[in-house]
Amino acid sequence: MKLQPPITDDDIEALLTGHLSPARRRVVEDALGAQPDLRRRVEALQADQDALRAIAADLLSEPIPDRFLALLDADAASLDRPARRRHGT
Amino acid sequence: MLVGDPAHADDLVQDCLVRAISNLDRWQLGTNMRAWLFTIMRNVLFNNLRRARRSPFLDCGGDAMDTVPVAADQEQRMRVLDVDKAFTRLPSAHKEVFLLIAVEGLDYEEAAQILGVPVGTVKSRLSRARNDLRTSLDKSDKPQPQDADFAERIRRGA
Repeated sequence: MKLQPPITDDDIEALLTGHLSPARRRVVEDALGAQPDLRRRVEALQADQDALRAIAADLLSEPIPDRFLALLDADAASLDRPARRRHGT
Repeated sequence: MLVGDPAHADDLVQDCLVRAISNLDRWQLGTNMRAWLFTIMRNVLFNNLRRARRSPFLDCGGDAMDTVPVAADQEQRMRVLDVDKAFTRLPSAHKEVFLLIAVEGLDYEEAAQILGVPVGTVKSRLSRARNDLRTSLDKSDKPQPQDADFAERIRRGA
């Protein structure tokens, strides 16, 4: 009988953020296939992360408020002048 | 996701923009601009908090997101709302690590630099954030005990 390779928290974390090497990824996926409890947990963690990424992506798709664009326009104009004006702080 | 109400978040972005634009000459070509901007944002956030002593981060009870991504079905939409709500209850130090690494895709070293803590601290906070989020959602997934019925029976002396 083949020994189960020990899967560490670092493996799971690297799997979730996509930093697992292809070789290690195969080992981890084999382990997940053999351990339903672990697989369910990883799937749940993945779903949590996906949900928060979806919220973040949605925020980024909101239109940029006019006052931000006005700020950038104002700065572009100040760059055209010889002495660059520095904003506060 | 970090500060709670949208108006406050917009103010934060505006302050960051002003500061980033005026300090653009300090940004070094070849370094990660996103990481640099996150550092500015964090400084601005804490300066504002010190000044105003407003209740920090997501302490407001309501749904932070009125516009949850258009989910394929209602169930998925509810799930996203649940995760969002559970996320708001995490400690802010854990939330920011989760956002930087799991959502924004920065690596441990970049996050550690932005937050001014060792890499080991970043790793343990991320792990705590994931586990606490899951624990909280596992709890809410389970069927709730019939509290109302129970209270009613107590009242009737049953």
